[in-house]
Amino acid sequence: LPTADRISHMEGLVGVTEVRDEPVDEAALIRSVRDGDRAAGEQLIRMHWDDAQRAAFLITLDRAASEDIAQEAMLSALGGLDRFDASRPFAPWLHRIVVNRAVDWMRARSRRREVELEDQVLANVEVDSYGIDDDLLSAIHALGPEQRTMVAMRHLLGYGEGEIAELLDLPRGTVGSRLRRALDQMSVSMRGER
Amino acid sequence: MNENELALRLSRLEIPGRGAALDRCLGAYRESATVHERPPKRLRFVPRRQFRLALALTAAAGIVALAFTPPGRAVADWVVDLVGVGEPPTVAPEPPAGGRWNAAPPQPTVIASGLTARGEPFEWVFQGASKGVCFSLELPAGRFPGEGGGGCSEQIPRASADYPILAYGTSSSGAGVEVNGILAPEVKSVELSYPVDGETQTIDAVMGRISSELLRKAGGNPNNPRDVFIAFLPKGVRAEEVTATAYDSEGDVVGAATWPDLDDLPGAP
Repeated sequence: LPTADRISHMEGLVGVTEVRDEPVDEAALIRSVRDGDRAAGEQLIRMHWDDAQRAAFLITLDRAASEDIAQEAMLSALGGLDRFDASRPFAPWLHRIVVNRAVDWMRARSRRREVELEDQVLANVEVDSYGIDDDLLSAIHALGPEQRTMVAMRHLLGYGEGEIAELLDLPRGTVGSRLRRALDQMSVSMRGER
Repeated sequence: MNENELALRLSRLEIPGRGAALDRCLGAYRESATVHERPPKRLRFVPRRQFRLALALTAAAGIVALAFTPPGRAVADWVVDLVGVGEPPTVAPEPPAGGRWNAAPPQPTVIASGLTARGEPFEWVFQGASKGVCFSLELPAGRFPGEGGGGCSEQIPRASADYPILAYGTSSSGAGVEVNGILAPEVKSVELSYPVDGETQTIDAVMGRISSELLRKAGGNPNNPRDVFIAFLPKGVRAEEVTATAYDSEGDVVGAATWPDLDDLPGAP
């Protein structure tokens, strides 16, 4: 008999197939979630999980935290759909929550310098392969959290500078300058690696 | 490296364990949908000067401290011997699990106990895990094991003079709105205020402690024990309207926490 985990995994595979093979009416999914359709909620989670966790990871550089943040953001976004305008895309709303929580996590971590349970952050980065070059990961690691936030939103999630400024309530010029500094710093870091 | 190349390379980012993480998220969603739980929300810290203003406004409106009476059941209906802080819980909690947590010392230990908003006994339990520590809310008279929920963390936040109250809130089917958190040493009591039918009501939090001994067994620094608090609010209270206020031994306000605003977006960390 399949275990619960295997059943869950099989359901996940079915979900991925559906997402890839059929156009998804996201607004209809959101309406279904509001009506109590849990399967629709699960489909939204599957559609947006990778970007959510990747963005959280790029900001925190902590695999465990990125999972927690992505999960909390998903549940928060789905739980707050009553306040969401279904005519608008779901992703920016979710990504805003993810980024907020990731930045909050970084802030809390900086306040917890004296916390005694030893900090595990970045340990995972050094032992796991993330499918990208080590020099790129090192260059990202060298950025500050706010620069990583900009890089994640611009180059991973694909938002324009104006959209980032609106989502993060920052002046557009600030977004542009942070992005430029981040790219410059990454270029320097990656040249130094070679 | 140009921007297109960067975007392409970032798109190849693969988080190890992605499938299991997604499954855990789906499981959490199914569970939350089944028991109609709301997701955990974190309280935002309020700088002291902002809180003084908020307190002045609230006082002007005329707060009347009311003892909370749980709906449909008087607290006195429960005849219980509450488990004391530092003792094992009445019912053994679920061991830390869920993929990346394994049980580790210390054994489950009560760090605070009292009555929920419904007047049922609760035990707030601390236990060790392989990568940190876990907390759970045990309801010995609850309808099913694990009803109160719980979670694990790699670190225990530490309150400070600047942030004397670190508060977190969750809603659960079993215990209603639960607010708990970590306190700076100078905090001696915590009061929660919330509106009901246009009037502000208050309730005192139950105080507890993560002792030096527990921290030592968890591999932490025993020199910094944590004072903690936990409180339960009646169903129908909107968590966003709750304020947790910390007082020192003189009864002076030293800090407060309120619910976050999603529009509060990051500036410079």
